[in-house]
Amino acid sequence: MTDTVCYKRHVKYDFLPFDDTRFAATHDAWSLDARNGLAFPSEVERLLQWASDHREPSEHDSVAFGVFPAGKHVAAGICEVIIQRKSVKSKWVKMLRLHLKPSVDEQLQEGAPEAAMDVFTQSIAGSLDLQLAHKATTMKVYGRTSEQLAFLKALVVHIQKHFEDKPASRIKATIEGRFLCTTVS
Amino acid sequence: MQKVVQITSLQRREDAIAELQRILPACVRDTVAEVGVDGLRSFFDGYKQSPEQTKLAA
Repeated sequence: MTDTVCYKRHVKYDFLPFDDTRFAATHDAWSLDARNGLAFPSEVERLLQWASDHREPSEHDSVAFGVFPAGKHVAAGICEVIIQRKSVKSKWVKMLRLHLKPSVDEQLQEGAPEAAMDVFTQSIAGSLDLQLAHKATTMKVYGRTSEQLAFLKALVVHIQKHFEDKPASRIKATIEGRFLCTTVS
Repeated sequence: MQKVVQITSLQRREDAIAELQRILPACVRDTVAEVGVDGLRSFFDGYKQSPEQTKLAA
């Protein structure tokens, strides 16, 4: 443990697709953060353009979801998800990436992780909702870098600890390649 | 009878996922306590790099 984490869950978040209102509010707020020097404007604009182009759910292309503080229209995170049918009996929901609103990322950089933790937690919870809604066998969280994979490996151990004394549980959490996988039998 | 089995199976899936969602905040909190804020920063920094690699993962 490298530092002490004081965690208080005080904001509820929703995992939602972008409608016109939510996208416009998110675009304006994230662009303002970038203009205020919290992120590179070109990178934020590229991400927002991608989100704008991927607002419609599709089984063959990735979709943008926002993580919104309850009742708000400005996303605290933008999440890329893809739903894939691998075979007749197998369907996957993959959470491919998650970008924090520049001001939320700034809080994390300054040592306040609460909002970033909430956004991450809600992204996974929302992806699990998609797993259920699409009757997918597996939900996967991608970790591209070694640091991401190390984080996911630590997370999967904590999930497994919860279920180890519940052998009848239908949930299985594992690391497969560069993915944290949850399957429901 | 088959419909009853399907409903029961669906309910069990819902319950299992709901339980995972319920424990998730504590699991994330414990993970960050273990890897530190630096570990969480590194995790999010990984998403800032190489969108092309993410496309390959899809």
